[in-house]
Amino acid sequence: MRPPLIEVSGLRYRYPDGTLGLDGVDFSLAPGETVALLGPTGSGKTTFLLRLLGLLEGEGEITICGNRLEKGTLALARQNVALLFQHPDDQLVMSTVLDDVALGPLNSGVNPAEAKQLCHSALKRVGMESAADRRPQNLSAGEKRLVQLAGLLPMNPAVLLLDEPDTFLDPPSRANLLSILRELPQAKILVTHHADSARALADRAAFFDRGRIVAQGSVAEIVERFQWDGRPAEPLRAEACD
Amino acid sequence: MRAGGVLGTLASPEQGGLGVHGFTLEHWAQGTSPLHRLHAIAKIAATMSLLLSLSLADPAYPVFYLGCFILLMAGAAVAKLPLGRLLLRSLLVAPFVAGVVVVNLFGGDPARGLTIFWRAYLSACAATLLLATTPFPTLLHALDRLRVPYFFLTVVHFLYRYLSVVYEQAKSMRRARQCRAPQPDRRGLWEAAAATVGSLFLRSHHRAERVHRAMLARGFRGRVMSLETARFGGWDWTLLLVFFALLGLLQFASQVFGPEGFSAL
Repeated sequence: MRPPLIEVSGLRYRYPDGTLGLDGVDFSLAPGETVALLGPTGSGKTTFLLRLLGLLEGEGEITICGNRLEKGTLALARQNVALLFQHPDDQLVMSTVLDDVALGPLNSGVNPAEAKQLCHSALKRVGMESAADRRPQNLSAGEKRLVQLAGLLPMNPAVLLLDEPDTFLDPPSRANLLSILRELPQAKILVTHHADSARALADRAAFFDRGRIVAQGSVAEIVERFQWDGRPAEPLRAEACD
Repeated sequence: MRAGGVLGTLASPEQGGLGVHGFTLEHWAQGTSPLHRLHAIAKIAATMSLLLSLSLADPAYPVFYLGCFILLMAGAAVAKLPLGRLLLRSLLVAPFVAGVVVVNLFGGDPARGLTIFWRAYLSACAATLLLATTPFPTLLHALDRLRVPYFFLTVVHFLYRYLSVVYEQAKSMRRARQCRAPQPDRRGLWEAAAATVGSLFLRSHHRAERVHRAMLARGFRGRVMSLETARFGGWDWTLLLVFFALLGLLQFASQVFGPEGFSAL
């Protein structure tokens, strides 16, 4: 059996204002696996992803591709694990699409000619090759999402962390994104509020609540148990009507 | 302002504003004329030499100013830019020198006032022509190669990238306010504007933190790098030298014609 790509134990994080973000999370991700993280807004899913990359500091142990996460291994961890941020404008920082996709390779020391080639092939992979010279601010929400995804691919990470990639998208764009994500060979952690997206991509699901993983299992089980497919429980609906 | 207050100035070019979504200048800079294709460093060098010549030119010799104006208009024509709009846009500099010009005009030295105006206006025309023929990212990359302080370029880079995002946020907040308080009085408007600015500042601060995290997550090591690989070739050298020669010729001509300009003939 191959060792897990990500192994986490006792992860804790407290925000500067004292709010508990993560309260003892244990988690592991096997090679090639996709796990959906479900749970209410503010339950710690995004905090968990940021913590995995060392973007927030707290207690607990994180091992990525066999290396324990600490200051000396941060750069390596960020090459092995790529994070797609929830808001595209937070991630697309460069003036042109091509330069943005090249941010990772150029900062990793890849020479410009090779970086250009890697970027074009990443853009081609998500169907955005023709947008190479466009300005990120002039792209639609769906296009921005695809460019964001292209920006993660040139360094060929082992794991993709996807923070609500299906928000802000119309149904065709969402379907397109899901089909592209399905084709990518990387292991993935998918944060989503859409049960459909979780069903389409994930092998299993974990449910977050108040900074803890309170349940893990198949997507169908978790969705059913927490009624996470958009159908409000009957009593709630009755109360709302009153 | 047609599109409503300060925000109107940032509205689309079709609405008469600067057009944050694709600044008019940025739109013009997408052209393919020989001037557009010229290396950005050559254009920066030409612009800087023109600005230097304008500031050093003898104010008493009008031929030089006229010659510079013709040179700039020839450049704009080669770049197929709308001359009228370019000239109008360059007038944006007028309010900044208006005070000095008026004081000189009515203080007994109208020639000096006019010289100051022409210097400022022609400098603005030159800068506009540079921006209208060079995509902004290319310009920043060229300035980086010219060793302009990196910190300054990074600030300009992020300002350029996020101006439209902040503008969109401001617009949404304005809409939200209008929905909840459709017709505030003048005082109410000022209060709302102040609250909007404060809120925008906070939001921008939070966004800056998220952007920084996103850059770190992608391995950012403290320097914004570009894939721009255009080389400064023989054609760029040739055109730059021709431009320098023309500037020299203009200086010479202005000395020949003297303070009376063409009337000396």
